[in-house]
Amino acid sequence: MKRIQIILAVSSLLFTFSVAQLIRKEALELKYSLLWLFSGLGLAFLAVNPQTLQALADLFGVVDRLNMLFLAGNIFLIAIVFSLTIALSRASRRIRSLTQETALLKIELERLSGKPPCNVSRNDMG
Amino acid sequence: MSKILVAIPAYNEEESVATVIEQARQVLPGADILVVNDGSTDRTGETAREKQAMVLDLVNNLGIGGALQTAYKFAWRNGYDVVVQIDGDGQHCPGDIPAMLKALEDKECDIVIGARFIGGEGGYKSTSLRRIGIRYFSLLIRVLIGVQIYDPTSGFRACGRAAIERFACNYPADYAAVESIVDCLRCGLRLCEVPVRMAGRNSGVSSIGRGRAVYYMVKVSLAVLFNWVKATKWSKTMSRGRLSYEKNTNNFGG
Repeated sequence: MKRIQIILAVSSLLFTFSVAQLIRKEALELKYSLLWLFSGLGLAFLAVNPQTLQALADLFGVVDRLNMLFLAGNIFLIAIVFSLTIALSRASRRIRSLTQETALLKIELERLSGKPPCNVSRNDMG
Repeated sequence: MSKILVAIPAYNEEESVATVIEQARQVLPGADILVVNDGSTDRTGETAREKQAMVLDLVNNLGIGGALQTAYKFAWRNGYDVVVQIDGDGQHCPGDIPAMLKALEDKECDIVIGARFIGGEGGYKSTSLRRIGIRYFSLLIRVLIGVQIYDPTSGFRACGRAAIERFACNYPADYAAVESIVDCLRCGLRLCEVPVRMAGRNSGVSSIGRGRAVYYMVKVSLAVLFNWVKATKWSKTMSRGRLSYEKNTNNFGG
């Protein structure tokens, strides 16, 4: 086994471990970090078994197996960014409805607490 | 008599919002006035409170669509029959509201749009780019849905109960004016237009910068197209809306 293989395998495993650690500390949510976990394990696997990469390259008709690695990396990154965009859209929709609810609750509270913030409440009291 | 809510979305409009509130109250003494303060950093909220308007303070800036939807949710839960939405920057003239309300009743429309071109009244001078934009969106709607709307970009509208319900459940978030028209037409709501006067802006800056206008047009077109093919069906949203927006018993109105 070449030195670079060992370095790659060890660092990928370290990366996977740190992701797991972050999930354990609840700094990362499991559902957003699954892709990262799998990628760490996948990289470690490829480092130990470079012939898998060669097989993949042959399968896709890629001449240089290094290019196969870049291609796979790119596809993976796009997948991650895309899943983040989906998560972001959902989060912004939730923030919007939360903001609206707080505003509606605030005005209701103002009214119930008897402060006359508006002409209507004054009419109610009169 | 129907309960009317005048909804004024305002983002950093402290100079003009007071005038709009005063004029609206003069024109419609019986109506409630609600300012949606869209996370302003100036004294918009305080000014509106000093003028005895109700104020919905949004903690985040949601943009025009999110702000307006808050007003529609408020109106729906508090049992208003009509919502008049009018910009806080003073470009719409509250004096035109009665004509719009009359059209809402007489023409049996769900939404009345205050349009700046039909009737030739007004003397509104817009930039040529804006005119092109309005023409373009008008054409887009006619091609997609086959209905002629002369001024789809107008934010001066009066909405009846059905439209309030629709908007409370579902309001286009980002590019509100044009997209909401497409949405309403697809839902089978009836729209009509009434000519109104429109002034130039008293103060503040339009949400659409001149340089970004073309980019905006492309974005809105895409939004409209996607709304056109959107999966959510009207009936589904309606029933969901009925469940979650039960009419509030303690009404704000007198």
